[in-house]
Amino acid sequence: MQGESPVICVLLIDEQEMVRTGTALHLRSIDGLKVHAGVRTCREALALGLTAAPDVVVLDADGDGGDVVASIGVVRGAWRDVRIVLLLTVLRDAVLTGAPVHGVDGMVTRHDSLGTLVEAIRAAGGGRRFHSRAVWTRLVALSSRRASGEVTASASLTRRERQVLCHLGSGRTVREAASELGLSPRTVENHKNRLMGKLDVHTSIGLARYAIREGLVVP
Amino acid sequence: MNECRKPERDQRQFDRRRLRQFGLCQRGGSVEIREDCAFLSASEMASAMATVESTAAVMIVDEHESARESIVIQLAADTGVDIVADAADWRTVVASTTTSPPDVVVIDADSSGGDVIAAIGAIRRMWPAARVILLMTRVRDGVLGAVQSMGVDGVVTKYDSLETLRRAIDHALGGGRFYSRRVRARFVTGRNAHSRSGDGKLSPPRITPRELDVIRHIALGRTVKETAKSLALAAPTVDNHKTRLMAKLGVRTGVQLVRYAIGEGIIEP
Repeated sequence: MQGESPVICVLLIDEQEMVRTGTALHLRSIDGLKVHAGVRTCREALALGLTAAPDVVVLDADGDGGDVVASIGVVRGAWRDVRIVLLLTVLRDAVLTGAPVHGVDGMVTRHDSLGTLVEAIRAAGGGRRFHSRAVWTRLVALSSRRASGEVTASASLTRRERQVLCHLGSGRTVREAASELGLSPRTVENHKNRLMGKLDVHTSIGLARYAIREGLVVP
Repeated sequence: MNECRKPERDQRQFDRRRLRQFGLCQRGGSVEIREDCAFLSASEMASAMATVESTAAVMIVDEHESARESIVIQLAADTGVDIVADAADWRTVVASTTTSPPDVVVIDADSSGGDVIAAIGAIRRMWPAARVILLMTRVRDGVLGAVQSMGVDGVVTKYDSLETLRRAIDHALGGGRFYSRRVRARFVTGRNAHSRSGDGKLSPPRITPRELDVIRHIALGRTVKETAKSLALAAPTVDNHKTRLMAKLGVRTGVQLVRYAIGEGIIEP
């Protein structure tokens, strides 16, 4: 039966090298999966210069400084129709709620087994969405909290403001953030002022703590 | 040191399972040819023993199941390694009476219910001769300092390659200590304080209780003036503490200091 379904080409992006090489070894032993290559970061993935787009990218949610939205953007920018399975080390609420919006097809945690990861890859390859049980449990809890009117201030941030928060919260200056995002320093300054107002946080140290608390930045 | 450990290790390395493959069995501390399988010649027996002796019994403890599986797959493919146990929780391996004694325990620092120190202590009590290698995702100075005082035999991060872990296992078996390059790099960031003491032991930055007070206040967003007032110190004194602290830790900005303080568990995020 496996033989009838098309082969799914998988690209592994995981900074945890010793884990990634073993995961690749396991995936290669599974019928119907073809493991392209393994790389540490999204940028390395682009540098591979793959001739054919992968079907599924398994993406370490904590890679590249933990800015998962940026990582997804890089992957999507390279391969528009690729399916993305996120690999989470910790269940971060900001990632869980933000990721589906950005078109992630599956989420599993490192606490889940390799078998669960394979299930997620197969589902994504077949165009279905798959989250592991731990992820679902947390998502349900989150949505019930939201239903009862509990909304975090971070939900009111725009995409740009969230990006600026990530950069400033991880210790970059306004100028550095501006050049990363391809914006003018003045625009970043504006975003900064607006998001500080929304969050009622008025120091850079306060912003860093907020970003870590929300799971946007790894401490 | 190596020599006095050796006989003990030879005994322990007679893994029952492996011996059975060669038609041998273990009785007390000695190895005998099983009566129903007494067909090995002396040279075959010698080679069987050599195989058994050169195999390291390794135990892996990591709560992250897919990561653990990934590491086990690779180590199990290595003929020099015999995985005697792998578990998510150190309590299960320590409690299990059937676990054969490991030569090396590889334990993940982040997944011991938050208390890797207790985990290492329990493992040491259970198997005093076992070598312990710590696996880290993020290198935390606090954990490093504490585990060094417990005499951990190696520290490797998950960002390192499997070969690095394999090297750490070999080093540990030979009685040496191994820190991966990433771990060593961490000791170098705060050049002044990350000193190398006489025995070649690397030590993480030593933060004085006063400095800890200062870091706590600053990381909570207080100004130098406010910190000084609350600690009943002069503002220039606090400023001095702060400057010295940042040099020690190799950080340049307040935001980096906050990330350090949260990462080390000095303040809540």
